[in-house]
Amino acid sequence: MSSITQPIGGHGDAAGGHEHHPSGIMRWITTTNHKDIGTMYLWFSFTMFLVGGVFALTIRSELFEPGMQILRPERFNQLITLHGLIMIFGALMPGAVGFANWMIPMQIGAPDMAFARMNNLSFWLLPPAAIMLLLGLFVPGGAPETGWTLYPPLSIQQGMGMDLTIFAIHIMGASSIMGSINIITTILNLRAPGMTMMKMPLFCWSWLITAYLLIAVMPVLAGAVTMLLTDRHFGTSFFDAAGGGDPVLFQHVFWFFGHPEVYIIILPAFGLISEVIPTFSRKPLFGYASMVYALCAIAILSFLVWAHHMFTVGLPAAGILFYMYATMLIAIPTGVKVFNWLATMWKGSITLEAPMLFALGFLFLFTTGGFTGLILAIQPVDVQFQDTYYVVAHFHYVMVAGTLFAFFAATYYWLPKWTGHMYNETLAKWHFWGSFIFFNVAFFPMHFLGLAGMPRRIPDYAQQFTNWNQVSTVGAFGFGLSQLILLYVVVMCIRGGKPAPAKPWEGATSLEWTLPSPAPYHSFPTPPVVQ
Amino acid sequence: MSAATQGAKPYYFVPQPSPWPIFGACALLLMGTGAAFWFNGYEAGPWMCLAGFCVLVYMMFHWFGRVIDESEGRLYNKKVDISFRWSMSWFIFSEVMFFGAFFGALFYVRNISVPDLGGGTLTSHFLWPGYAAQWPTVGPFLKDVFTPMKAIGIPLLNTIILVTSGGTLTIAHHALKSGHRGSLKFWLFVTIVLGFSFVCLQAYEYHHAYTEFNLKLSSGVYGSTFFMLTGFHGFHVTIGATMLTVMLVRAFRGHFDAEHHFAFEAAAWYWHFVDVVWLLLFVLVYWLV
Amino acid sequence: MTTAGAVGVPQEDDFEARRRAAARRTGFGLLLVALIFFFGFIASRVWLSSDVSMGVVGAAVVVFVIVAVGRHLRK
Repeated sequence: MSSITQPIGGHGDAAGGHEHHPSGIMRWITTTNHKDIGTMYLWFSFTMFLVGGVFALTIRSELFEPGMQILRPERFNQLITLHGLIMIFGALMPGAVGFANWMIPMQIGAPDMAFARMNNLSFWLLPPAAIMLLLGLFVPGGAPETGWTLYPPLSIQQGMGMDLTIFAIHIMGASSIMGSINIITTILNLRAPGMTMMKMPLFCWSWLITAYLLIAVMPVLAGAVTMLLTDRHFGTSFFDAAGGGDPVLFQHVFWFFGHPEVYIIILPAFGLISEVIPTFSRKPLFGYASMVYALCAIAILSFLVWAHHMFTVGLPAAGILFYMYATMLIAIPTGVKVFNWLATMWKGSITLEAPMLFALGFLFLFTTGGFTGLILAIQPVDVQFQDTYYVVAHFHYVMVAGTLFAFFAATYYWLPKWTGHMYNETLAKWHFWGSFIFFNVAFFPMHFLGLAGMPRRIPDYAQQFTNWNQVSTVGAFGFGLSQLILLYVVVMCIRGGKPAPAKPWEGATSLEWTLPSPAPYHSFPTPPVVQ
Repeated sequence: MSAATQGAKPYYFVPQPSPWPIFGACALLLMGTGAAFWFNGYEAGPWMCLAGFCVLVYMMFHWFGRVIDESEGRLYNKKVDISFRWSMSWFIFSEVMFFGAFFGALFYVRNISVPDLGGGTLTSHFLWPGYAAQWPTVGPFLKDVFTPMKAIGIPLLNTIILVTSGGTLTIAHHALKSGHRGSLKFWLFVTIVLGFSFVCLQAYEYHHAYTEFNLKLSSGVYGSTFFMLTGFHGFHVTIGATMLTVMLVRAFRGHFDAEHHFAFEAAAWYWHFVDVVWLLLFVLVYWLV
Repeated sequence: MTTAGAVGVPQEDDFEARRRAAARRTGFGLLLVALIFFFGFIASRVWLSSDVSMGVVGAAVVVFVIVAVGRHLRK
């Protein structure tokens, strides 16, 4: 898409002697380097992914047979809550920020993020928040049993784990807002000369839009949980009909955050996929401008559809109709994107390395999840499916096979740039096939279970659901074990391997591939000129 | 760049490794867990909170002090200035959205939940018979009787104070741009005095509400929305006035010049934001009762 | 690349024009596929045994896309 004509100055340390940074643990604690911080984000994300994954496997073990096996019902619900919160706020969002930190400065030709110290704070707020979330398991009353949506009145009645969760959400919100302001400023202000907005790699665009969404909705979530806190401890009546409030008010405020949050999670994945598919099709991205407009359209629409999560709480018919049709409208820009990815591959010269495999997996499975989303958008249908396993299947198809597969694709895509070594392609392909097959084994049966009426967030179920639940549990364990291959491949790639050239993928065009592999500590001390 | 390359401004500014972020993270961990312990009756809670707050203030002193040193050392170029402008704008936008959540709650209870509880619906007929949906309300179940806040009186006075402070701050800004340091210090000082008198009057009004009007945070949704909205606003006024105080101290130390004073401008933006929120509050919370 | 002209180097706008033409062809091709799919979808509702005919149309479209895209797969 863009090419360097003349890098002004060398890649050395023209920036003035900051190769010398503290070593050991202090390097990571005090760092102001976007690559160090990106690395920490990604490792934090992977750790949380394993923690949340262990919770998920515990849940699946409990559901292997009807009746109560290994957990008390309260503990089961606590794990459901923590699995959701940790995967969303601990694994997916920090993962996306990790890629942003690593790649955005390199892709726009900047030396670092605009606010390097604040960048460090954004990361280091996450471990305290994770500690507080997990601490909930060990305090009297345990973690919240409400599910990640924290609906009152149940959330009003929880023990102090709920308070820890509320403050953890405040802290993660602060982290996200700082991170977003940083990303927006970096993209708007630190682009290299000649790197116009419409020449930026699509990953940068996707994060620009995501950052706007984050700044707009994270404060609203903070407001919602603050109202929960005061309802719990200071006698306010926001969510209490006795005092003139309404529990449904929380749902409105929460989903005003929660629906854009869905796009906060998927848009960076769209960006990553838009990098990988052109590279391995050896064609420029089809319809670049329409991709940008589609991102903007999705972002705007995401603010107008929140009540489709509340179709069964008794909204007025006019409201239901509005939210139903507005929700369906989102299929149009999303369809534009899927169409453009297909058209990019059309007559391209395709090779199937691990990143491309994951991108193709994304394309198939995310589109499936999108279609079930359309089905759920139809209110009369949703009345049947609300809170069943059909919903669980739907959002795991978009979050796991969508966002997570995009993260895997991007990890393999950029590992040579990060580490300077090629990863083990054979094992990476095993990782893909393990993930792809076991993912479907784990989650496709949930469609059937949901259609048959199995409710979610319940530790026990009627006997006729047993078979598919057992299939699903087997798939879940297979999926979990497949991720250990990823860990092994990444660790081996960091420790050694075939040296990677500056541009290991012949079809890649963006600016990061003009830097040597591994990329120098400070990406572009002086800006490259882009034509 | 580092302080070592003073003088020649490099194309980009990238700060040295910094110890302060981890202080901030630890401070918030202490404050968050401390508050959770506190609200659940553990004695250690308040002390943890206090310790966290002290660490936070300590961090801010050093971190912001470092930034001020870098700025006064003229290490920041045009790009950094633009970065600061973008970031402050979007920070204020995030604050707008935070208040938006509470204004949204106010809108919802006034237009949807309270009318539904009393207005001839089946819910009201069977669950809350005899409840007349009117605003202000303590809700259908609570039995407290309170007097709502009047717009005339202290709130009106506070409006005048805050709008005036916006004007005096603008005068101070013009003085700074035209190099009248004495005038800058005077009008900035006046702004701060007005700001803190607003906070004091608000505190007096709260005291009045609790002791005379029986209007409490727990007085149904009226009390909830009233105290949460005005309380968070008052908190933001305190922050804004503190920021302006720092600017005054810096002005006395000879910082800022006609072109180079974004810190002052950022504080001024924040002050105007707080001002606008108050105008909304005055109309929606006090006036349209 | 271009062998027709006396100048061996392809002109920048010439390349750009060909890229645009190729993109337009791709767009039309996929649009046609989509239209046929939706036409088949609607038609299968009108004519009998909609499940089977829809399945056939859908499978045909998916198989066609896979073959058309994968035809250029390189080892």
